[in-house]
Amino acid sequence: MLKLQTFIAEYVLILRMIPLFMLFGTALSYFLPYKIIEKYIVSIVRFCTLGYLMTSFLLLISFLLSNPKEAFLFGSLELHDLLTCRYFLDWFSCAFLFLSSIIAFITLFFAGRMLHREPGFARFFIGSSILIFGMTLILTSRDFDILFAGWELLGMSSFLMIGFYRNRIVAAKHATRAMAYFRISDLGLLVGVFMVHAFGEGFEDFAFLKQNLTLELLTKDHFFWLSLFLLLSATGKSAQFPFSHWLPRAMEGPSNSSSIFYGAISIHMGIFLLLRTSNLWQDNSYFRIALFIIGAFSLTHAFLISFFQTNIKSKIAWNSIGHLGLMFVELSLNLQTICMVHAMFNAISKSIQYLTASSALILEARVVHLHKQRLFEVSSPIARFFKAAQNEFYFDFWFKYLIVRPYFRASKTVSNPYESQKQTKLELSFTIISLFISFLIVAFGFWIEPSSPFFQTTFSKNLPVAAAALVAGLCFVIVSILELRNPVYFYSNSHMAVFLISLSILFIGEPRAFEAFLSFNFGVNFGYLLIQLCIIRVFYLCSIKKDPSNGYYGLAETLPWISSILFLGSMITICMPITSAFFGEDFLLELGHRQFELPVFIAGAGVFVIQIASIMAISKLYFGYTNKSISFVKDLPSKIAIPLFALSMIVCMYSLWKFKFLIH
Amino acid sequence: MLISASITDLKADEAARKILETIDQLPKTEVMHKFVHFNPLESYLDKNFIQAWLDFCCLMGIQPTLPKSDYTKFMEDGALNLQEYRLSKSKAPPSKKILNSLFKEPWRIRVQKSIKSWEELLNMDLFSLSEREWIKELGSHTDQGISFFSYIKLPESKSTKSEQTQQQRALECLEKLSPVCCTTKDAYFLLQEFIIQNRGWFSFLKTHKQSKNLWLEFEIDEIDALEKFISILVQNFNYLRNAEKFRLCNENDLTSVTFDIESFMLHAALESTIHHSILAKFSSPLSQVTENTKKKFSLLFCLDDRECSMRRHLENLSDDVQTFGVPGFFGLPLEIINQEKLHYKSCPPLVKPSFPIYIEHEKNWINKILYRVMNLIPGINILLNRKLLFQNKDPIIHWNDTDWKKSSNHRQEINFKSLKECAEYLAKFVKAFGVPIKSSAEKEVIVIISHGGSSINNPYFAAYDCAACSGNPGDLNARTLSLIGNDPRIRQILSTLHEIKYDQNILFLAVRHDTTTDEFKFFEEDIAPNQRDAFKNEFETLKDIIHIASGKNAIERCHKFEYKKNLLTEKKALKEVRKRGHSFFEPRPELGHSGCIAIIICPRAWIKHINFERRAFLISYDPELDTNFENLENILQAILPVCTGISYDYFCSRMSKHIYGTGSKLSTSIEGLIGITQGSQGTLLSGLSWQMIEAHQPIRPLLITSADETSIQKIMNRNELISNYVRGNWVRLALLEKSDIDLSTDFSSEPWIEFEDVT
Repeated sequence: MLKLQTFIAEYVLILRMIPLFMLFGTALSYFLPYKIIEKYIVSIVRFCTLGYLMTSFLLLISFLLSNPKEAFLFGSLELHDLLTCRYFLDWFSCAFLFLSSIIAFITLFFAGRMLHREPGFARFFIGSSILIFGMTLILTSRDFDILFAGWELLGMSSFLMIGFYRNRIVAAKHATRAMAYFRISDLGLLVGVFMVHAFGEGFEDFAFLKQNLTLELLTKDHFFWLSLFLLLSATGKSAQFPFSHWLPRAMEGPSNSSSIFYGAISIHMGIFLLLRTSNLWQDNSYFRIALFIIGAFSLTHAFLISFFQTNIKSKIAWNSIGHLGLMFVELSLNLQTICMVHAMFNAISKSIQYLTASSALILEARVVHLHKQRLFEVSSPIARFFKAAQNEFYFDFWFKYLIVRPYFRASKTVSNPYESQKQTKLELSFTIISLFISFLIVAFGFWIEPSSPFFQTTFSKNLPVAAAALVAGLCFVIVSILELRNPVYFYSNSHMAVFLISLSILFIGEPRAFEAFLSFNFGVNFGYLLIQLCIIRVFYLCSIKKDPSNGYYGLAETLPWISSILFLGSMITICMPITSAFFGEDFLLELGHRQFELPVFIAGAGVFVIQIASIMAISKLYFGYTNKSISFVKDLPSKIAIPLFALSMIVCMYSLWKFKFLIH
Repeated sequence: MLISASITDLKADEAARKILETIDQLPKTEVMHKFVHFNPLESYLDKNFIQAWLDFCCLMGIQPTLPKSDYTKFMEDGALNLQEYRLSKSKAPPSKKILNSLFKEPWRIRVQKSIKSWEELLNMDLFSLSEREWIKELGSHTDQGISFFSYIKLPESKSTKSEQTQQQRALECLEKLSPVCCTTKDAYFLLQEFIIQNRGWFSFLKTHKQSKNLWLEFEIDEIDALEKFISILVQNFNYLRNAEKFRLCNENDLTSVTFDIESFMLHAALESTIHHSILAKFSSPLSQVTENTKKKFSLLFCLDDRECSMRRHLENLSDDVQTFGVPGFFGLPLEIINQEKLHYKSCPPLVKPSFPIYIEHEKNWINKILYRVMNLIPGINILLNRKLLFQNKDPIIHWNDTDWKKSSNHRQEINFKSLKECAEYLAKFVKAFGVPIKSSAEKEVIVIISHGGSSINNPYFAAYDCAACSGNPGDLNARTLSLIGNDPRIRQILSTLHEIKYDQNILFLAVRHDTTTDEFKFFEEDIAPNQRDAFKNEFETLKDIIHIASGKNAIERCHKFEYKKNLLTEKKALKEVRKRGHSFFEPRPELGHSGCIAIIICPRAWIKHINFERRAFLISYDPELDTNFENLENILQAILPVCTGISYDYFCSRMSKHIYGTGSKLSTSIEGLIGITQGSQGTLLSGLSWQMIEAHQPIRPLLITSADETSIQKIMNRNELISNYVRGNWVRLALLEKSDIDLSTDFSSEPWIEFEDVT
């Protein structure tokens, strides 16, 4: 029994390592000559996915053989003082891992053939390996933190895959929209995580949660808010109402990515989260009613829309949302086993439907022949209702009228569309200040040791300063989102906003606030440092037009290295789990929350708004077709860019290592 | 060189006319079940090719030449020879350094600035709110099993619509824009850009209106779409109170294109290199040709470039075989009507169908139910469809519509068309292409080989089928011709009226060639049992020959797919091409017409020994039988629109893969039966996908014909269509003459661009 458990721990570790190996393996292909890239990547991917498939099979078998009493297993494998592999498994996670590995194997095995000679061959597999890594983290995680890391990685890889054809503006728009919804979903989980931390030690551990060891300590109020935020997160990820509209728009990448992301893995993670945390909400009837309502509403409206869709991928997507709604309903009725089986069947059938979507017409024609649709005449209100269902109940229209247009009107009145010399100087000075601050903080973060007394300093409680910083920060938030069109101005403003808001929490006077502040700012400022360097390179050293005709700069096509560094910086600033900002953010909110609930909530909302705006800004810079006015700007030579990229990755790793103790 | 459509003081009448003109100039797109290679430049046929191409580029915002990297690639592959490149007067080819310096100046292509600034002003995607709804509505009417329900849209009030002309309605549209645009010119540019931005949709409406599509029961035309767009625009403009009227900032920014002359020269060099490589093939001495000897098997192939290699292999294999290249509809302009009373034609797009036949598909309910059930079980269709379990049987042909539903006997009497008419079709066809008209003492089989493709990973319904049959496999034409040819009563009429003497020793047999999988299907059941028994041995021999030839053909095709040369046997190659065709994961089941560059019209015996590497449309024509060049004229008239249609569809898709072409196949989605979109929410697309055209070399087709200059001049003088094609440089003409030992060719038309003129 004990032996089996160690085996299982090792399998989990291997499962987590394989996608990482695949990621680095495919990333290495950028150094290889063009002719052998495809063969090299295909062989690495086939090897890795096969390995993953076999390991997950062994895991499933050993889990079944170990026959745990409580239907779940947990444990940890200590590799080193710094690295512990903690895992939590139940039969659903094992089975879903195995199923996902089969789907990943099939789609990625044939992807080599389908994507043959496609630009971005390596990118596809890099995105897929991030997805598999994120999925493994989610399915095997023992605590909320690791689950959250996987959750964010999944979102990031989705963003990359929807915008796979980088020169298509529609794809960029839809990728941004999906990512914005993912951020809302992330917000739910983020708040959930910091609430769990705020409850006390051990609450973040699923093992304790499942054993009901800790739950008695909590009040009903705690349960309600926590589970509500988790529901928000699950709803966003699983594309339930009112966040459903990203899924049909996410079909911009190759069919393979649609299949593996939105058919199989990514979309079922919401269900998985609810299953994992079922102990928290099982006895809460209000929550279950909410779950039922969301599920039932999504179910009916998604199926209704899908009946009238004539676009094959759109139809599959709405059908998928309907099935997920049904799963929500099943969960609310406490039919967990049925829900699990349903999820697995849905995953495999949808992924295959996406894969074969382009052949639908041919297959149909072979058997059924050309036929006219059976038209039925209906009275006008019903016909109008059908038409509305076909047009997704005019969601886009309402979204535009109620949210987008008021925002743009406000933005237009504030921002100055005409470029004057004065404004350029102002922008430049802001950029330089931002660069200076970020440089200082990064240098400070390097210089200061965790053991030094300065690190343990507690800033005295100074509420006026805190309030002033918060107000100033929020002002910067407003300015930066109104100036979203101008990336140069946006980044310096948003940097100020984030810095000031984090500063305000420092002066609340909590004991470990400085550590949290530093860990958050070390990461975020490093991201801004990279961004500002790239912006100075692109916008100031070469005087290019700051306003392309379509609003998209298309840097990814013209300046691949600069744009990838910019992308990395941007992902760091939105607190993806690559730097210490990821847990610094969580910790900072938690500390502030202890004393002031509402102001900290507002501060958090400000940062969150900045993050969504940041996604929009990076998509405007990164995507778009080749901008001829940039074509004479020289990209960084790979001799400089590769070491720079590697160095920034090392800094990211360093920051994670330096502030690792914040996790526990 | 700067070309700008400068319009000063634009009057409303003229603007309305120009809007209608813009719609006319858009390329055509058809409903997906009859995928036709339309020539995108069709509306410019009265112009010179170069001028037409530049105008098209100006309109659509396409760069008129390929990017530099593509030319470098062509150079590496040997398709572009710098010896052909005469940049300066000096004869030395330019070095790579000079080449790099040539591409400094960036293109200034048409930017959709007018519509972009509108979208910015209104903060909305004007497309998504106007066209998406209608695309979905039409999609639901033509849908083939994607959506569950369809409904009838209530007719809108059309009282004034029918009375007004198009011009008047366009004028009204412009007037409606006057509260929001400063001048007529602004309104014109806005509407024009809107049309071009949504070209897939507008060209679909245009084609639908012209071809009177029976799928769509309610009427919409382009002006309706414009009206809807304008109403949304004005409504949104009124919402923004105090907004300023729209004014153009700089006209040149909207419609100007600067051309890089040097890359034009590179393209000219590419064209010359490839054309010369084809012409060089004619310089090899002729093999000993044995003409006018009777052959056992006369195989009528479609002139398609994909049949080019198959014909060579067949002729090399056996001396008993002679092949003919004829238009794939075999001279029968069929109109096919099925059980659902859906009409579709099986003849070239320009020909009016005049030969109705009624087909009946066998209703296989078990198959249908099985298919539906299998679709519910995930993954099973991938396994089963590989072996084509659900392939249906071929339909039964009927000649009249009175009893076609009840009867199961397919050999009905020909009532609808009189026997005389049928005989006339056959006689005309047979005589034009030199097919045997008298039977000899030995048994002889005339095999009519139609072609179609059967791929699975293919969003289009019929992208690999016969273009001369409007995107249907030509087997119905072939079967109808064989039925006509074998009918004893028609044979009698043929002998009395047309001097064609067919007796017991001659037999027509219809065969279908699947160009994707290289499989052959013999329609023996169409022949009367006694005849079938009499020709049993001949059939066996024929099948053997064809089987070996298809293996060889598969090997040749596999080499094009970059398989290793030495490892392939015939069996393996056949297996490989079949795997490609039936795979869900293969975006390139076959390369289609991507090789096509030449149209060759001459007796087959002259060029029997030449390997054209599947790059030429081969048409059989005997100049000795053609006294007044009527046959040649007929052939040219029929094949030029089809062949150039294919060629220019590939040309335009290759030159602008994202603007005319559909981009990558991987992210496309099917929208009803009306077209494909990128992603699930995109606009309708026209053209071909990147995977279909990446191997194509975009040049004008080279027309090689066996005639002298005076005869060609004569034909051109009396036929305007041919004259437009040849004198307008749409094809590059080379004349083929035969002496005793070799063939000689000579250009008589201009190259891509006259260097001296430009510089």
